[in-house]
Amino acid sequence: MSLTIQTSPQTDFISYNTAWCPGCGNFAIQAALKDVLNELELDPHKVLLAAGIGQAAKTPQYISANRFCGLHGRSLASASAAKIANDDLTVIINTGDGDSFGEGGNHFMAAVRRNVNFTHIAHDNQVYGLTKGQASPTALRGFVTSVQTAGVHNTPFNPVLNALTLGAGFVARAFSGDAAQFKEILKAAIQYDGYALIDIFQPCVSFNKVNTFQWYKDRVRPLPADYDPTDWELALKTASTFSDDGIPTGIIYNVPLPTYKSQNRVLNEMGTLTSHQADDETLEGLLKSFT
Amino acid sequence: MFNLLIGGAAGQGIETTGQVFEKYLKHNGFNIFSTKDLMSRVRGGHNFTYMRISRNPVYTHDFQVDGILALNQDSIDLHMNELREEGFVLADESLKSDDPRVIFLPMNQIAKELGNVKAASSVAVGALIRLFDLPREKMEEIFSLSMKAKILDVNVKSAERGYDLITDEQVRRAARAIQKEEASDPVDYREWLTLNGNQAIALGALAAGLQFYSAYPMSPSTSIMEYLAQVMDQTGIVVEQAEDELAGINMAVGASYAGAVAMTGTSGGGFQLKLEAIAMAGMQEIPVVIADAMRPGPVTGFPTRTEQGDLNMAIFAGNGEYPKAVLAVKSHEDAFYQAARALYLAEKYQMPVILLTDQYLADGTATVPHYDLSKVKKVKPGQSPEEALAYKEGEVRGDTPSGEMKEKQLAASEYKRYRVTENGISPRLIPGNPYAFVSADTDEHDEYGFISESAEVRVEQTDKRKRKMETFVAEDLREPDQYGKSDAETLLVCWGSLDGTVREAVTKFTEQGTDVNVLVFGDMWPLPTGKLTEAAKHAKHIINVEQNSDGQLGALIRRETGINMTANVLKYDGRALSSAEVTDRVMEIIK
Repeated sequence: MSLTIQTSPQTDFISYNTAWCPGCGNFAIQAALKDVLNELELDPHKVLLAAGIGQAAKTPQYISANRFCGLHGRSLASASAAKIANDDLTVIINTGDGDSFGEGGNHFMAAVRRNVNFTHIAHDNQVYGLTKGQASPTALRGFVTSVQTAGVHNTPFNPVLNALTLGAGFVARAFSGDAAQFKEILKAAIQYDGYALIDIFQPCVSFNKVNTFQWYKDRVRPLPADYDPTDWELALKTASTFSDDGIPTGIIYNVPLPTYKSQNRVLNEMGTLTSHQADDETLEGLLKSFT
Repeated sequence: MFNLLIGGAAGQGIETTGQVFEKYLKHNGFNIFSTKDLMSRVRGGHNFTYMRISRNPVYTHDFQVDGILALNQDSIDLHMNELREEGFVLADESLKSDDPRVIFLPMNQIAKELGNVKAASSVAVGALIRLFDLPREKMEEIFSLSMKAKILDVNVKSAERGYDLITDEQVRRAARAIQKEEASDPVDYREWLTLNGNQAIALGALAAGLQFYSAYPMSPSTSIMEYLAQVMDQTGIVVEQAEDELAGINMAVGASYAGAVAMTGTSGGGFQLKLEAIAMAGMQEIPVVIADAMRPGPVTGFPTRTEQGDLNMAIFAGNGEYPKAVLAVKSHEDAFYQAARALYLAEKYQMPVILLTDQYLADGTATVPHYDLSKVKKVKPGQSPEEALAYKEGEVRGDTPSGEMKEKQLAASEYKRYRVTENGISPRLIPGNPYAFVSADTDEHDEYGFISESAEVRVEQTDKRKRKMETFVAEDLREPDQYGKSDAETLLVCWGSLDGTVREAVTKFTEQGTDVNVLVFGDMWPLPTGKLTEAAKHAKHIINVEQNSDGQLGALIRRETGINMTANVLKYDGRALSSAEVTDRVMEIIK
């Protein structure tokens, strides 16, 4: 008899056709992500791309890897658990500002605090694309939409500042128009051991006529080479800076922290969670304690 | 059979007292069934436990008591009317009653003398040991099973003092309440397990191979998580307290997708927050088990009491149409095997399985035969590449007539996560394998797992998912348990934790010369209708016995079979139906 099982010949990450609008900022993010995954020589079979719901959340559909497209806002929870369960996987979430900070607000807080090792790319265009143009949590005050007809009244949500105050160890801001910088940040984020947030500006060509490519381009200011990403107070100041005079981009904060895994005895001492189950001797011992 | 009520304020240690006495009885050949009536507070209030004690298996509680251990005045004032004529009460001498059946003991004073006021209830345990005519010698050994070393000595000494305070005359009088009974089966109950329903569920899940449990605390489900957390190092599992109910299930589904046997648990109010993700697991075809320890709703309802009010919600969980199974736990014995079965079915059919239990089982304890691990199927997530990739059209699996296995190559491009199959079950690989990518989508998707808006794909995938239910019905659905006389004119239908109560009711009916047929459903969805349709043919009265106000099972039966209930016995005050209530109310209907 002979039964050969061929492993997949696919060793490179490739992209598939998308359903995004021409000119969408997601294209640049998708291309950079694919390049970085290839440059890091990761095995596509060991990569999990996760997402919630939204235009950005379609990214996993368009790159060859494992994918988990879950619920609006909740892929942070699912992806955390997937990584806890199967540490062989490199986990990356691509999802929007509404998904990450609106519907997923509580999961975002928990993801920072839980510090499972995965990368969170928040595609931030300050607007809801999938539902056609309502304000997102990061929309600026005064932004007029089909629902916020008198302009947005809420204080805009600052993802990087919030991540810092919640205790995140890796926090970055990027711009889809600066692929070189984004790729550098992304590499560092994937290699960082713990939760890594990249809030990346990407223009929505269809529904945000205010925060356009040019709008971001005029404002982004890459952090200087001598910037110290281990200085938390400096990071707070950098993260708070968001004005017409400039929005700093780059790795705002990067320090090692205890991770979920490093503090979990089972994950540390017994190997990948999926590799072991309680044996009958252990189970009999548990039953005996009830006799 | 002896029914003891232990009552006190929260924080007075009625729980520990109950546990210690339970062990003592068990080591002396008794079987115990206890239920708890708790107020939703950490200190004060009035809590009590009913503990039924017998040399034979006990399946349910009773509200008529033979003895009261009163740690507070409420235990006397509120429960004296439940005490049988020949019963007795043990109370601290500071409490007040002019009932001659009360035996006053200086519990607090003794405990104070011995240096720990919290040991007062052990004085009473010692007195009970004497009244039950049990040996005094093993106190230290048995107490040490449920007490920490540093409080052991003072509690044993307190119990010995209590034991010595009881007079021979009091023992003689108590003997009228504690009637001697013979064990019908010479079983050594020391080998049996005394545990609550949530511990049974946790153990069953572990036996099936549970690896990941995430949940948000909610009474009365929390002790599933707490027990698992206690044993996580021993068993090598991860227990994660999620940030909210939503994360509780989204984490379980994520872990399951990644290859871990995963489960979550909650109570009704939390369950409704999980509906979205239950539908997700249905669409993504990811195994997950959701335990719902029901308490009276809606919303916060009665946090620490019991009801069977979530049946409709469980069956109709989530938007749209997708396969799921709903199983109800019948007893402390059943809880172990059903939890294991739920995980097995979730994996086999790649779908959410809802396990309904309730506060009655969750907080109450029973003595059950030692669980048989060999009866539990171990769950191994996903399929091997041989199984998963070998679905090439027209290809014959297995041996050829010549005894040779066919030469074949299984290539990654052949892998279809949502392959349309005859039984509806598609090949599931775990991500990280070197053969193929594994996708999971909440959007409608094609066989490969790419999102699709095609009308044909939609119909094909919907039908495929539906076929899993047909396979489930054909291969795994279980008919209800039947008690009594199968051709009786009176048919009682009920489900879940009422099992023990109606079992005892059947004995009472028989003693009264009334024939009844009883069906107790465990598999709730899809609803098995075989036995029911048959039994309904002989029945003049079809009576739905349920712990809710709508008669949800009755409505489900009508919907699925067209059979109408002729009457309902419903209870929804948060307190469990007793066998006496069932018998009285049914007799009233059929007389």
